[in-house]
Amino acid sequence: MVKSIFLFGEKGKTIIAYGILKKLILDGYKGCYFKPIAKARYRLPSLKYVDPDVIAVKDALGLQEPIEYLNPVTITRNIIELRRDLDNVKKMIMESYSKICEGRDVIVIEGYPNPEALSSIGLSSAELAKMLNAKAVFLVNVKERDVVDELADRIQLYKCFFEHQGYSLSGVILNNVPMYYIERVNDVIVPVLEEKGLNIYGIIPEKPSLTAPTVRDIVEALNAEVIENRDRLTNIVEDIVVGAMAPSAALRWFRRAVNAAIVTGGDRTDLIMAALETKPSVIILTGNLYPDISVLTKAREVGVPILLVPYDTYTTVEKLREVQSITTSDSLKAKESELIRTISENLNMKKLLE
Amino acid sequence: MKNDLESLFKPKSVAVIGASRDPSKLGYAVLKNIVDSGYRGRVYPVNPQADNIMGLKAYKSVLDIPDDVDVAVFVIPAPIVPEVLEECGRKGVKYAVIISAGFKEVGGEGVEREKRVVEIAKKYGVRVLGPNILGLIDTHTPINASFAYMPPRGGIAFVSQSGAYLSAIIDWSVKTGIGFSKIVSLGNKADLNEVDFIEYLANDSETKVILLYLESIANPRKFIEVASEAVRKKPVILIKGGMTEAGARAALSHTGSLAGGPQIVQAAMKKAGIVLVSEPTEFFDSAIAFSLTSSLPGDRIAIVTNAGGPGVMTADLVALAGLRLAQLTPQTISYLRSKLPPMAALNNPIDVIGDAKADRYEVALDAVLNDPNVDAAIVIFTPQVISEPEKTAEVIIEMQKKYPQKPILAAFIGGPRVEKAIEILKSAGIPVYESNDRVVAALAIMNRYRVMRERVMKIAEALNELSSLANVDKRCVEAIIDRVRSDGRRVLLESEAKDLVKCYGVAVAPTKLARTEEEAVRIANELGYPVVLKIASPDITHKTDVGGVIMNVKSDSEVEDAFRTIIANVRRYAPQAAIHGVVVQKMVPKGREVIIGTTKDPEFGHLIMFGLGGIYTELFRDVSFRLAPLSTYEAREMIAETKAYTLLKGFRGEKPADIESIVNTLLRVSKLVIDVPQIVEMDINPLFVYDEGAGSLAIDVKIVIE
Repeated sequence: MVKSIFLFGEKGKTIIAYGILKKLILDGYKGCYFKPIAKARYRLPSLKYVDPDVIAVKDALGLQEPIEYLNPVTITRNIIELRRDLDNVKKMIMESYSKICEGRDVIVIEGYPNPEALSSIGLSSAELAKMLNAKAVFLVNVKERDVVDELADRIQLYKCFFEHQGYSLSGVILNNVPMYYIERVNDVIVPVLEEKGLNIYGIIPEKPSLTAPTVRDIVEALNAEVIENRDRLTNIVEDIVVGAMAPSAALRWFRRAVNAAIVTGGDRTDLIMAALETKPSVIILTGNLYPDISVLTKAREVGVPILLVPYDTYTTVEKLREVQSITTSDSLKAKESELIRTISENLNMKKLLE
Repeated sequence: MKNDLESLFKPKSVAVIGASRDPSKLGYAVLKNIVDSGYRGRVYPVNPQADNIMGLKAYKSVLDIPDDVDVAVFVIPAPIVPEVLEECGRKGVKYAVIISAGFKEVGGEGVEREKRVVEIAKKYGVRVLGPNILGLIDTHTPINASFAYMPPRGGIAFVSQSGAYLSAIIDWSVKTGIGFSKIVSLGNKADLNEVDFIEYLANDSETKVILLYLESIANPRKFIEVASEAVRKKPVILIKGGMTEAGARAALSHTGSLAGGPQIVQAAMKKAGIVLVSEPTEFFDSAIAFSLTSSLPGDRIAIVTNAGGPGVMTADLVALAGLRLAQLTPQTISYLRSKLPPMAALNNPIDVIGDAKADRYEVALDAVLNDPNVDAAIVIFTPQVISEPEKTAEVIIEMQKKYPQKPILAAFIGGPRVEKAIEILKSAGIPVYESNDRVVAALAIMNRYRVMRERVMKIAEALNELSSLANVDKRCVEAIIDRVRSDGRRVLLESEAKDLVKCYGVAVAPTKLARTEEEAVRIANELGYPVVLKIASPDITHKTDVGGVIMNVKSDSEVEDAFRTIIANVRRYAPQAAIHGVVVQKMVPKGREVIIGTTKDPEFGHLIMFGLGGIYTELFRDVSFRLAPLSTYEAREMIAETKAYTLLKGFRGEKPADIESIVNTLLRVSKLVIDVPQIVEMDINPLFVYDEGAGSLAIDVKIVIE
């Protein structure tokens, strides 16, 4: 009997799903990923009409199944029109699902980005979970709330919603908990949730390095030219620092940043040299201004990748911010060990698989 | 292999690889220079296509030379240098002077090529000068192994990172009569660099003063070491290129160097005792003085002039330059009064007036140089109708012979009438200048050297007597740093930073990190009320600006409230900041605020800063800098240097502050960054300093590691 976990809710689903699967696979389970309905995004230029998250997980886990089985339904613009074709859609989902269940013990199913998605046409998270006979787990992103107690309200809402649809919400995973909320979450919020009969499958503390992109992700997203240290693209980028000040002040700024992407004009040799001293994850040169030879020599010495982009600094930083929210197979693999450690320490896998 | 550079400057045999018969080629120019310079050793042109060049037997390869070769000069295209160097290595050549360009300075494969050169040289024990240089000149040997003209012989050694500049200087020297002992073009500094040459020249009896033009310093620490040794024996004067932003940018494109900021260079030069000048005229005017006269015994100057105006002007300039106008003894004055006309001014400047002939100059000079209160004399001569310029020159020469310990510098102001006199003075080795401001500038630099030298000796003494500081625990520091690193951070939290400096005996206000409200309350009770709560975040430098500090917290409920408020404030005003908790610190009595900071310069190492806190540092920039390691002499000096020192000493009835405690803290901070160089930035701001005897406490400490 294949066990399945339906993970829906807020930001962080893909990474957590990947982490859970990876851990299970390491523990000897035969696991697979399934995303019944996905939103197609055009962010990465080489892909069309597919959800890049699915590609990321497929590549990172090395899943052999074709994309259509892992993700049978994609939505580009319209949802309501699907209502006419509802039976067919449900059939497609069930067929793909049974295909990937073959020879597997555990399936981790990821829901659509918004938890209430497709409720208007009868394909809500509750419906899907019921259809796939999966354990429904709500993933909460604790950090994004000013008033942390609000998460209990939201969970209550979904609990009621599920019950209304004739299915039950098994429990929650509280993800991305900042250190100043941990006390309150543990002492005040968790008891309230448990009172309601919900299982707390995990309380995962905030770990910024897990959401950070790699230099390769950035190269692709920015369409950048790599002009030095092509073999260092797996560095993760956790911070963005813009170099625009005098070099003496710059050194003090750059030193404080860990795993940073330092963005500056290619003609600012003085700043770039200062930046190289602090060994950041990557230096991005803007305005298509090719740097001085001395810069490249030094970059080679210290092993920092140098990228060249045609945009100005502001545009470059905006694009960098967008990359920070995309998952790619590269970044998943780069964070694997930390992710697995975090999951092992903070998630109750045993309870999850009951 | 003995590498004392003796064979480089005084080689017994020289091979010119790439020597040419074609007068338009560099290989021709260099060979000709060697021959024409009067070099008495054996010269071997090497050129596979010639049997005989300039009457000398030519060889196809250096390996064919039936003799030892001390120095091989390379004037061949860069791509074939490595293989030829290989041959030289096998031959046992001691020094390779590689004039050829096309190495690190052009980037790309040039970098690789230079690496190969270094490897090959190392393999055979050959020392390399260059590549990419003008060449090497020694006027005493004599030998001119360069493509520049041979300069006049003298006592100045000039070591330069710019080859082209050297050529210009040599040309200029002919005009001005400056003489050089040695000229070295450093080029890319692939092997031999300024450190090697300073060491050699310090002990070279033919060199009286060492001049340096550098854009980068190859090994800054060693540089300071050898320079401060050299300074004890003779002046070392440096023009550093790339001191300003614009200059730095230009310098970067020169030989691929990174320029350090001006404060650090000044601090380093001060430590080394090197006189740093910014203008080329200062450079050479002072070099002339240094190379010709004995060193300045003191800063008390006597001026002898035949024109009142220039005399007074010079007196002003002397004062402005930080020198002193000598106070003549009553005996000298009465002697002068008896010998000079009644209108003559006697109170330094001594004005022998416009109708003076050489004899009055003689009387005046003899008297002032004999005066125990006079260390050196400036002679100002303006051509008047009765003046005797040449005879006056002879008088000066005689007086200098009579009083060899007290330098005489002359300013002969005029045109054709003083030309001959100037020549006479030059040939006799008396420094003579065209104007009074230049003579004073030269004297000022001589004085700077005198002061620097004294200081260098005092520092060496102070370092020797510096007893080891008690209460320093390096392992304690390393443990804290390891923990921070494993957390993936470079910036320490306040509690960690304070613990770290405590490991080196710096007294801190008791502080602990609280991650929860409960913990904060517990710590507050442990430390004792009242307390201060501050946000603990590596991303926030100015805590008060984001509402991250709450002072005077007096009870448990206030602690909980303050904790929550601080978190809320920081989330609002610095939403991107990573929050690790809140530090709880015991409130201590207020003292005088000072700031002690260090920052690591990639070239020179750690620079230590001191200043009075608040507006004194931020607004008035009343700060002093020194390079670590600090001696007690320097620590005291840097505190006394600030204008705010007067306040620390006790001003208008206020008690003096515990300055010893500041000295102690500075020494501990210096030792800390020397022992643990991974600390790239540290700021103790503020350090509360209490009254004399009551010590000091670090209230906030920030540390960044690399």
